[in-house]
Amino acid sequence: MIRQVLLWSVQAAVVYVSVVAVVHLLLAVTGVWSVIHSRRYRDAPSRSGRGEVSAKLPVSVVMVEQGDDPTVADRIEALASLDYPAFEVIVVSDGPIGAHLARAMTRLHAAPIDLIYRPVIATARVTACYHAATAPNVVILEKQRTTSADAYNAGLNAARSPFVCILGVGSRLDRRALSRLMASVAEDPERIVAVSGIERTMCAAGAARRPVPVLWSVIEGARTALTAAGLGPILGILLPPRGCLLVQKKAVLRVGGFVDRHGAEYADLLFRVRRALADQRFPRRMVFLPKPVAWIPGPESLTGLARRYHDRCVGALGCVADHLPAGNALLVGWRMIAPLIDVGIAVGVTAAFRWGLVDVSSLLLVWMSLLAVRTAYSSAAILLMDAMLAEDPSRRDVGGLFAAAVLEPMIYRPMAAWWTLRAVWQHHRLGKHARLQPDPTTTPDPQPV
Amino acid sequence: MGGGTAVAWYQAVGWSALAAVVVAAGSAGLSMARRRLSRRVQQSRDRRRERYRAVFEHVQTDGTVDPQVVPEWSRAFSDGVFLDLLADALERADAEARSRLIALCERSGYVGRLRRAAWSVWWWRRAYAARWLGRLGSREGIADLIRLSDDVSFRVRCVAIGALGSLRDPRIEPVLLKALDTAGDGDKPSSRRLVPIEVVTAALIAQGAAVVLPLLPRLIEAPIAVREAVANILSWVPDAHPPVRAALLGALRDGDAEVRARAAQALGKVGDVGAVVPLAGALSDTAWFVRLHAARALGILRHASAIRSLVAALTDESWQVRATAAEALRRLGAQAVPALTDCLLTSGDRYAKEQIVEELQRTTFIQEQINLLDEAQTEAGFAARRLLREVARHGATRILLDALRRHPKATVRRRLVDILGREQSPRVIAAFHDVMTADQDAGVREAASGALTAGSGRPTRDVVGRRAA
Repeated sequence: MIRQVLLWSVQAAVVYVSVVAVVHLLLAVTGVWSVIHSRRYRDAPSRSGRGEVSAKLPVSVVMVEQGDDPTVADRIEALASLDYPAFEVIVVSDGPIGAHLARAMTRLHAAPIDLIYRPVIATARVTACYHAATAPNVVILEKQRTTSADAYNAGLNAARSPFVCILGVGSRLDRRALSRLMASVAEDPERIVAVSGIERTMCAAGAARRPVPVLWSVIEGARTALTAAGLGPILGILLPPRGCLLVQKKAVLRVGGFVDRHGAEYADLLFRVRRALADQRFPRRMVFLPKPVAWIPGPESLTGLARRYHDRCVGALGCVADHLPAGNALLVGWRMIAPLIDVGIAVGVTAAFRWGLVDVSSLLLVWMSLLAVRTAYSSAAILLMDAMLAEDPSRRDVGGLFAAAVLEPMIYRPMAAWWTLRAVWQHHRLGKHARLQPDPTTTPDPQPV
Repeated sequence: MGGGTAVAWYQAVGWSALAAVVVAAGSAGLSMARRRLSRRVQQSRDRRRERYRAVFEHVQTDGTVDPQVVPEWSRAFSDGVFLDLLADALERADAEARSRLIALCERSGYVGRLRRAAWSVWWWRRAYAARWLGRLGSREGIADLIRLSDDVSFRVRCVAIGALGSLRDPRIEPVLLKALDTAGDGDKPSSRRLVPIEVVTAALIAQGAAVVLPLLPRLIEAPIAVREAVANILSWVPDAHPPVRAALLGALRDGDAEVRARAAQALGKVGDVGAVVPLAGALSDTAWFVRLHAARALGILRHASAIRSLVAALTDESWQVRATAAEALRRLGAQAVPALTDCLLTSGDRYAKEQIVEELQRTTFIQEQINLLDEAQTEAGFAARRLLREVARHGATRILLDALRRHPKATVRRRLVDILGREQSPRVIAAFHDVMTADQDAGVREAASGALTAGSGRPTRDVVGRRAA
């Protein structure tokens, strides 16, 4: 009986691995199709379903500054000079303004002003507002230090446009990102509630070559982009991005903005928006645009990569647990724990082969799926990115990327499985601690209405 | 693990790893091949570009054409690099150099080749011919372009219409107008794909003022798409003739919002003062982009009769309209100050007043008014004081306090103390304390001290509130 159950389990694992491999190959095909199809979006279209509009829809870009980032001045200046005719930049300083932000404000000739701040979403107190004289579309809010979710909510409250582009911590926008994102919104501004695009990984400033963690991060980004491009046209699902997300402000306000317990997790916001708008007469759309829109900072070391993966995993698992059994929550959850499943299957099937439960062909099938198909998918993603971005990388970069693609299922995947396991454990522990009451002495002052 | 089993496992993993390596190596090879190919192509193009550039410089700078150049040009016409450079040179050259280049092309037989290509059975050859006939602007090619504008191929028609736009000839205008009318009937079923109206619009814009008068009737009675296109053309080709102004004023009352927006834009560019009142009326349009363009146009016109409407637009629901209205008022400068002060004094809507003050803070308007305080004796300085006092009364004190601490002129700082003296918020009192101890000018320090003393003798809001209770 036990032998029979084990046999069925192993067979199920073999079938699972094979199905996942086939799905990945299909996704590669649909991803390529989606990229070709998306070329109809011009970077600066102005034609919507209702006809040509002589003025483009305005956008508010919300950026949160935490921990006195030394690059904040460059990031704000880059945002202020985006290639889009109507946008404002809202920089939210979570906590007192740090030295680097103060220097950036001096460079922008920012002066304190009294803005009307309506806390539609309850946030901690906003202590000061500044307006940049040399970049009139930049506003800086200083608020009491709380969480990143609260800081984003303050930015959402201050945003004046119908669409808000939420920028991840440390991320930068591509110069034409707003034109690209709003190009798809212009087709149907009422129904499209969220848009995201390809996020590229950047090296640390001054780095002569890309270290291995950055290469794996690049590969993961390319794979995610290919998966998102492939899934978008089939299921209409927007995989939660990390760098930037353009959302309809009305929809976000309706769900009450970001929730503190998930730490400004985009996935949680998207799940809640989808659920809240499920009763609408016309289905709302979330669009993935297969064009580069944002740059996210690459990890500086393997420890940094581990920490980032772990944090992302904890956040995603937390919000997935809240939104189960929704289909897209299942998908995001599966993507998070997939390394764990893969490593488990590799070990299990090898053990089953040792005990004579499976033959060599099944063993070969599993390992082929785990190593060769995964490498093929990574290679396809890299090739697609290369072709789409029309870049001319150096020979060393090309060699490094494909070598990292080969080593990724053998080295990075088991490490990711370990980080996932730790994240699952931490999520389990956090779940216990969440039942405790918060300390009332650390609760910040609410913004008066 | 037994020996046989271990070997089988090693073989399975080994084959899988080998397959992964082969796949990655193949992909890397593809990527490298693409990279190498693109680099080779680029290097070859660079070499040829350098060679051709010397020839072009010679033709453009030297009035005489070297006879040896002609055969070289005839050979080079099949090279894409040469054609790119030629297109670039034709675009950048002045009239004289351009005519020399065109003459050289004609002598090299290129125009004749293009005219023959215009009769090709392949659509891409015909489209290529149309594009280059338009670029060269040869008069011989106009007849071919007009014929190609009615070609069976959609792409050839688009290219030919675009090419006709860059040429000047009396035969072209009716062709473009006919194309516009046809493109405007986009909703009607048609046996062939219509040229997009944007292409025709761009061609008509390139024609300039010559096509404006024949377009005017279409602004009134044509289908919506044509009216939008005509209004768009008029906004790009501003024409101050009375019939054009009249047509634009009429278009400002059109049923289509896009036409109204474009008409407002065009009226601003025309600079017609008679349009101020209709444009001020357009500030209460239902479409936000019409209001935006009306506010922009009023900012260009800078006429005092628009001030009231612009002040009202500071409370518009769209922030872009509010910001544009504030910018327009800033451009109006001192003229706008009395109206703003009156509005802040007399309006009963607290939210509207707060909104107005916020919008003024987002421009440099308040900074400019602070700078005017130096001229306190003049009328502008007096008006600025009144306005700033109202701004402070509505809670916008930070910008004034910042100026109080940093403004280089002691006169201005003293006036600011006077303006802020009536405010008794903790922020103002703290700033007065700072000024009293740290300001360089004795007069400012004394004024701040006086304001604090006067403030302490005066009943505070809390006391008044308690008495009222």
